[in-house]
Amino acid sequence: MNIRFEQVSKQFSNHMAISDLNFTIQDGEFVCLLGPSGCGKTTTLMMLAGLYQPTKGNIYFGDQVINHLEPKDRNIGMVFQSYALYPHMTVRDNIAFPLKQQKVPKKIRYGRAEKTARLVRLENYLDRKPSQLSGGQQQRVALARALVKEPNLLLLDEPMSNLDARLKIEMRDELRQLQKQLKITTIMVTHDQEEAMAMADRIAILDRGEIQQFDTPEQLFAYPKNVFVARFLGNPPMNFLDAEIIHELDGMIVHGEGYHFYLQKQLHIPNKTKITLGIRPHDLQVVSERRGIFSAVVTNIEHLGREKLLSATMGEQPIRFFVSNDQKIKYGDRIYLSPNLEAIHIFSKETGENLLWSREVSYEQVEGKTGLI
Amino acid sequence: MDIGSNVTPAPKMKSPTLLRKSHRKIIISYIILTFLSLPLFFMYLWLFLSSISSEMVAGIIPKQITFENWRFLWENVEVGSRQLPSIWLATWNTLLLAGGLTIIEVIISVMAGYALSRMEFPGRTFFLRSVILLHAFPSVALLIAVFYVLDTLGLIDTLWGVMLVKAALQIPMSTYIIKGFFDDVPWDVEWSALIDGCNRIKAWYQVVIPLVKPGIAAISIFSFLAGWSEFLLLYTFIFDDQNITLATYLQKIIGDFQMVDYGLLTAAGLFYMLPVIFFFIFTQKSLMQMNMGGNKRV
Ligand SMILES: Nc1ncnc2c1ncn2[C@@H]1O[C@H](COP(=O)(O)OP(=O)(O)OP(=O)(O)O)[C@@H](O)[C@H]1O
Ligand SMILES: [Mg+2]
Repeated sequence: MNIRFEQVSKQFSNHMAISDLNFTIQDGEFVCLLGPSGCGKTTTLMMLAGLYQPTKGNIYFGDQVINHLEPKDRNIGMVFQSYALYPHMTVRDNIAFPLKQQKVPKKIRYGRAEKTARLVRLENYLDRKPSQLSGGQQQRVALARALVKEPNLLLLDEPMSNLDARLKIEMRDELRQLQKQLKITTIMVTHDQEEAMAMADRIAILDRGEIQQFDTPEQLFAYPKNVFVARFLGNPPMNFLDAEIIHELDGMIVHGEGYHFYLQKQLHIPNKTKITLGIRPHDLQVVSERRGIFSAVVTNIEHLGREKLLSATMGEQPIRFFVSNDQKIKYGDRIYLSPNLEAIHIFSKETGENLLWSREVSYEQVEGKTGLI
Repeated sequence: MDIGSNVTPAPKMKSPTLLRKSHRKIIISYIILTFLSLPLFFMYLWLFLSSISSEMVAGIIPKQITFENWRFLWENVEVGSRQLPSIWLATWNTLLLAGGLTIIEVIISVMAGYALSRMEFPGRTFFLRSVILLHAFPSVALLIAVFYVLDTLGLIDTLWGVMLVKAALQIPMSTYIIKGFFDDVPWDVEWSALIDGCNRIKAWYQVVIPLVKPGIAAISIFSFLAGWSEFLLLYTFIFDDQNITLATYLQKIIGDFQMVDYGLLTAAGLFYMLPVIFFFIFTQKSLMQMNMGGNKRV
C-alpha cells in the first residue's frame, strides 16, 4: 500500500503548520521525518493517523482517498511523543489492548502481548502499572502496543528519545529487522539525525511545514539541496564560509575573505554572485603552507578516540575539521587547510539553494541516468 | 542532643533555638484550629449526651442515662395527638431519594461534562457559563413554578418528582466539577485508544471513564449527601406520610406541637446524622481529590 500526500495543508486557527505537502511513500518503506522542533512532524503523523483532518489536499492509501477514514479503520500502530499509555491498566493489558478491540480471545492476546513484550525486553514488567516504570520502559510499552497488532502502517513519534545509548542501538536494530521482516510501512519522527541515517530507507527533511528534501541518507549527505539540509545533517555540522564567484575562462574562482581558489566547474550564475561555501569537516585536510588554501588558528581540540576534532578561526569565521591522532597540533598553532574540491558545496547566499546540485541534476538528465533525484 | 533526631519537639526544651521554626508553625496552627473547632465539638457532644439522658445539669452533664429517647427505633412515636410513621420507612425513603438522585445526577453530568470538555459544538462556551450561573441560582425562587410543573406532570407528592427537581438543580455543579477531571485526561491517551481500534464511545468508557473515577466518586458522594440532607423540596412538594423522609420526620417532631421533645429530637437528629458522618469518614479521600480546575477550557 503506497501512501501519497497530494497538496496537503494543515492550518491551526491562524497558524499554517503544514503547507502543500507532496510526497509518496512506497509499500514497506521505512521513512524518517527529520526537522527542528515545531516544523510539523507530529502534525503530519496525526493526519496520517486520522486524528487531524487536512485543511486542504488529499491523503491516499493506495489509490483511495482516506481523509475522512476513522483512525480505528486504518489499521495503524502509533507511538505518541508522550507515550500515551493507559495509566489504569497493567503493562500486559496495555499491550494487549489493540487486540482486545479486535476481539482476539484472551489467551491468544495475552500470548501475543507477552511475545511482543519480550521483543522490547519488558517481559519482567508485565504486571506493573505504567506509573511504576521509568521513561524508557514506558516508551517501550508504547512501542510494543503499536507493534502487537502487526499494523499496515506504523507511525512512530520519537519512539526512542528516552532510551539510553546502548538500548537505543539495540532497539534500532530490532525495530529495523522487524519492520523488514513484516514489511510494515513505517514513518518515524526523530530529532536525532544519526538515528534517521541509521534506520531510514529515505529521510524527509522538514522545515516550517515544508519538505526541504526527501531522499536516501547517502544522497542527502552528498547532495544537500539547500543550506538548511546541509546544516541539519552531519555531525559535526558542515562548515559555512561566505564567498563570491568570479567567472574565469573555463571555470571560476571562489573568492572569500583571506582565501581564493580555482574551481574547474561552470555555473550559470552572474559574475560576482555572493555564495555560501559549504565544506564538511571530513573534507578538510591539514597541508603545508604552500599548498594551503585556508589559513587558521587552532582554538580547540577534542579527542574523539580514533581521531581529533579541531576548531579553528579564520579571521572571524570558525572552521572545524578532523586530524588523525598522530598529528601534533597544539592550541594556538597556525595551520593551513585544503578542501577536497570534489566534495565542496556552493549555495546561493540569497536563496540558500545548492547551485552545484542543480547543475548535477541537469547533468544527470542529459546523461539519461536515473537515481539522483 | 543533636538537632537531627529532634523529630517531635518537646515544648519544655531548654534552648528555644532548638525548636525548629517549622515545628513552631505547626504547633501554632494546631492550637488555633483546636480553639476554633471546640464549639463544633461541644455541639456534637451535647447532641449525643442529650439524646441519652432525661435531664442535663448545667446544660451539658447528663443526670440520668436513658434510652427512652431512642424509642422511635422500635415503635411509632406519637407527637401530640398524631402518630408518626415508622422511622424505618423514612430511612428507606431517604435512601431511595439519595440513591436515585446520585444515579441520575452522575449519569447525566458525566456525559455532559465530557461533551463540554472534549467536543466542539456551537454554544459550548455559553453552556459552560450558564452552568455556573444556574448553580448560583436560588432554588427557593423557583418553588412555585416548579410546583405547577410537577402538578401538571402528576409528579407532585412523589419522591420521583423531588428527585428530578433536585437533580436538575444539582447537575450544573457536578457537571462543572467532572468537566475539570475530563480536562485533565490527556488527548493523547484518548487518541491512542482510537488508533488501537476503539470508536469514540468505546474509548470513552474503556479509557477515559476509568481515568476520571476519582471525579465520579466525588460527585457521587456530593449528590448522595445532598439527597440525604434535602429538606426544602420535600417539605414543599410532599404531603403523604407514606413518602416521609428523615428530614421531614424531624420537622414533624419539631413542628406539630408547642412542646418540643428535645430528647427525642436530638436522638432522631443523631440517627439522621450518623450515616453521613460515617460516609464522610470513609470517603473523604475521594472528596479531597477534587480540584475545581474546571475552568481550563472556557
Ligand atoms: N492543536 C494545535 N493548535 C494550534 N497549533 C498547533 C497545534 N498543534 C501543533 N500546532 C503548531 O503547529 C506547528 C507544528 O507542530 P508539530 O507538533 O507538528 O511540531 P513537531 O514538528 O512535532 O515539533 P516537535 O519536534 O517539537 O514535536 C507548531 O508551530 C505548533 O505550534
Ligand atoms: Mg512532535
